[in-house]
Amino acid sequence: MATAVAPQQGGLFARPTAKTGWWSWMTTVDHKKIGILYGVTAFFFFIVGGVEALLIRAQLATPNGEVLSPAVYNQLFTMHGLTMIFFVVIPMGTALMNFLLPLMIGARDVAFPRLNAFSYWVFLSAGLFMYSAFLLGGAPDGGWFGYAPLSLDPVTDGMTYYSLGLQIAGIASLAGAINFIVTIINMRAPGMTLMRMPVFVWMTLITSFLLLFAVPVIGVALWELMFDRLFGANFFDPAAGADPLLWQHLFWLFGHPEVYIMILPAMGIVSEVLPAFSRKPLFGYPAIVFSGAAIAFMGWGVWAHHMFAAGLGPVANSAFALSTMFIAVPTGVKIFNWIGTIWGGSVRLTTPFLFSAGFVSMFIIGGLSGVTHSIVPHDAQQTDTYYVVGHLHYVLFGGSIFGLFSGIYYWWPKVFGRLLSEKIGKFHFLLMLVGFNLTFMPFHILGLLGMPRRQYYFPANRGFEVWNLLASIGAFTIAVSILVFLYNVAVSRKKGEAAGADPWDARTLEWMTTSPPPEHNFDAIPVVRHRDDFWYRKYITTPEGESARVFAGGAASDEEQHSSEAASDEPPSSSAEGASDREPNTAGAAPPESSSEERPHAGASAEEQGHGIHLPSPSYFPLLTAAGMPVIGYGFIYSPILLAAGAVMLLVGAFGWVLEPPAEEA
Amino acid sequence: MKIAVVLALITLAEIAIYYIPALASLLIPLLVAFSFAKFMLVILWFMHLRFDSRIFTRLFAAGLLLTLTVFILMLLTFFLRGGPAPTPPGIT
Amino acid sequence: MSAAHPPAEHPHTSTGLDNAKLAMWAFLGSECLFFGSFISTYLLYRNVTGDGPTSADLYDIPYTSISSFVLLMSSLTMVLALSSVQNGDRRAMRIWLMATAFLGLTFIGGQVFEFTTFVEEGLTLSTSAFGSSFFVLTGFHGAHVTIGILMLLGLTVMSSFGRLGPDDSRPVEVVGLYWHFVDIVWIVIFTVIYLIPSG
Ligand code: HEM
Ligand SMILES: [Cu+2]
Repeated sequence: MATAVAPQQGGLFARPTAKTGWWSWMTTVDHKKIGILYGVTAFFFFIVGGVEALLIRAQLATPNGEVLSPAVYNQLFTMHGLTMIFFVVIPMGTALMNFLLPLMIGARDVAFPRLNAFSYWVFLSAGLFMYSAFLLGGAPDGGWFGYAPLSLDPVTDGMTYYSLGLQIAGIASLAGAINFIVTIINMRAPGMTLMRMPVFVWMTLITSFLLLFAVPVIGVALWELMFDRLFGANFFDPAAGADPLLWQHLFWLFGHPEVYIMILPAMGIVSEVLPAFSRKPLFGYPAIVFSGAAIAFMGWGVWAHHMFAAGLGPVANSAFALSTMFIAVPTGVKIFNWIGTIWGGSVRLTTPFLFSAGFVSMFIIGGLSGVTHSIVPHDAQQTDTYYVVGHLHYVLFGGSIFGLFSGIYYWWPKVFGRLLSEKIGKFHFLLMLVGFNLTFMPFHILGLLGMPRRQYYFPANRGFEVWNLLASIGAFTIAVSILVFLYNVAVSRKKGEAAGADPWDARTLEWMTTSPPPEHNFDAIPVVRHRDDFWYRKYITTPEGESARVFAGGAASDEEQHSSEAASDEPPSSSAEGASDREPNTAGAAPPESSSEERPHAGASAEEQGHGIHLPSPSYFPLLTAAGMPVIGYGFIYSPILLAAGAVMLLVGAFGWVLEPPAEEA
Repeated sequence: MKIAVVLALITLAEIAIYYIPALASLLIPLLVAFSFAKFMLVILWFMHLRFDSRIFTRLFAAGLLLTLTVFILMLLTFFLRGGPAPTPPGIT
Repeated sequence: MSAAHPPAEHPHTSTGLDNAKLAMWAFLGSECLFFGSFISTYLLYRNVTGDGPTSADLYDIPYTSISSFVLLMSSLTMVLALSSVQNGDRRAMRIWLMATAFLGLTFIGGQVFEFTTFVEEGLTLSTSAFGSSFFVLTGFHGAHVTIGILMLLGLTVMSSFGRLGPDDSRPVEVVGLYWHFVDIVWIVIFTVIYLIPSG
């Protein structure tokens, strides 16, 4: 490598080395630690958003409630929605993706470990930035979709925080999406062709593409809002001849793909959990994958169904109504796949399975109420009533949150090495299912009775009392179920049963390594020969078509598979050849025998805590660079000096990032 | 180098037709065609998509085609009803 | 960049493609939607001029043609920088990188001058929806050019301190992709915003 002299560890840009303690978490670039950080943070926001919801339900438990003032009420429902969507469901999915993606495809880490840390810190600073608005004069209060011209209202800085905070959150999502896309395309273990990838990985890929293309659209809308609010631009102000419908278009152009960004990861989780507990391969794997892609694709052509009441005219309304009805088809396909997976399987009713079953059934209800919205005259009746709120909670809570809890219960032992209690878990599930339906089923009825959403009180004697009271009781039931979950966590941390590598007799690669996995994930990178590869390492199919356990020591080829390493220093296949292949990886899946011998750190030496496996060193700079963003945000609102300070942090962070001693990062 | 010369010539032609009254009716289609030609030359040769992996082309084309489809649709919904903020009947 | 473990510099990937390049192409796909949104906003509002000046009053085609030409030529110098480094000539590469950055700066200078002129003629960010969409669209393009210039200068400096080996052309290639993209966005802006008459 010629004259280039790389500075060794030490000096101005020395990389941090702490492996434990605070600094190790602040500077980590390990995808597993970052995944845990994401998960804990998202759960924290889940509690915060939940408390906001409880306050709202307390206010609406009785007619003419007096718990909250109208101004506070507006801030609470807005922040509740923003929190749950941007700081809970999305990052909770990202948490699982981060932890699992490299394990599932047999990689040591994501493609850009430092960028990954950067995403997390940017996400965290976006959340803190948004919430700081409560202390600085008032939080966003214009609804999570921030319709103009209401969002231009200058009474508080709330919606300015909205425009900047979501912008920052978008940067985190975009960086994460690019990272995951490159990881999935480029970092798969030998033999892990695209059609052998676990469905969760597929859904991660599709979700990442949705984010990649949707985030810039809302980014532009938010910039325009910010220019309107801070610099007197006229993008959305009807008084200046602008058209506030532009905001609605840009917002929902992002917003509808966004709902799939929130549901597809959950669908991926369910597609892992159901086969594992039915002891059957997923029914119709290709159909699940392609319907996922079809949903993502069609999801770009339905956005105006959120604007049926805005007066787009009959042509546009009919077109978007049709496309909306069609998008239910691929969704339905998936439901049949899941049912087909359980059908005839030997089902184990574990907690993760129950949550997945809950997901499927609740999501069916939410999907059906969605189809009722797609009928334009019907929707005219429903828009801005509690009916829509009912729909969105069936898909988001009954769908995404149930799916995410299924994933949490399923992968908890992998992440922390101890099982959660099944007994407490089932109780949690039952309580949450009951509480959920008690809360949100009445919303549909309230909506049909004509109760508008986003009203800080409801009048007496309109027939709303019973349903509102029921909903509020349900909300507190859900809160109790979350406490039960926290208790479960506490019990498991203290005296949970040790999980072992493969507590569920599962199918995918992450269960091959220890729980929790070592820093380098796998002692030897597995070579993949099947979809559900791990299953086929444990079981062979008898001539009668039954599965039979492979005897201890594994199948004949197992040894070789374990000791063979990634073909990491094989001459890279010519890029043109690899690329023109639709499943480029088949080329790389050379028989392991040919390469296992000359591996420098295969076998015994690898077991000594992965000696010789180079992992990227921790770094300060993602944190520093990310911390510059909220400073810039405050700068826009309060003072150019802060703006400059934030810009300096960003620049210093970026230069340090480039200049610090190299690690294994590509 | 040759590509650069072609690019320069196209730009010259663009400006030229902008000033030729005889071509006024053809102006927009011609300009779009020229601009498209320049666009393709840069991405195919300067960004060597022509010689590089098709995965790159697909990634970029996905974004580009999506942009075109979605925003043409969006602008259509506006202009089918008369452009931005047409005053609804009865309101002034 | 490091002499310590050369093989790690070119890790074998599933597709044989470079991670950074793949990431850049994905990012550029995303940028299409970013500029698409701004351009659509402009197209929606290009006649919403209120009492302010219209595009016909303001645009100076010969002037903008020259700055467009400057940016187009900076793509050429970028290509030359990449081919120099691929031929192992780091000095030539640095010269071409600086030339590219210089052309970029010229373009930005031209834009600053244009903005000042428009403001003098009565078009500001708040004059009309047309004004807002014009300034913000071209302003964000200018910001992209500026970031590109910073990256070009960064590359030049790193290379002169020996942080960029002659056989390591990847950073130059990736920055080049970004630079060309910013150029093609301007090709679109120049045609759609400046040349096609509104009315
Ligand atoms: C079969 C699939 C679905 C269909 C046909 C559908 C249809 C619709 C329609 C037409 C609306 C607009 C209602 C109105 O404002 O009047 C709507 C609202 C909404 N949908 Fe869906 N939807 C489906 C699935 C989903 C999924 C999977 C999610 C999220 C995970 C979701 C989240 C939402 C949200 C958050 C809103 C409310 C937005 C708001 O006004 O605040 N939907 N849906
Ligand atoms: Cu929608």
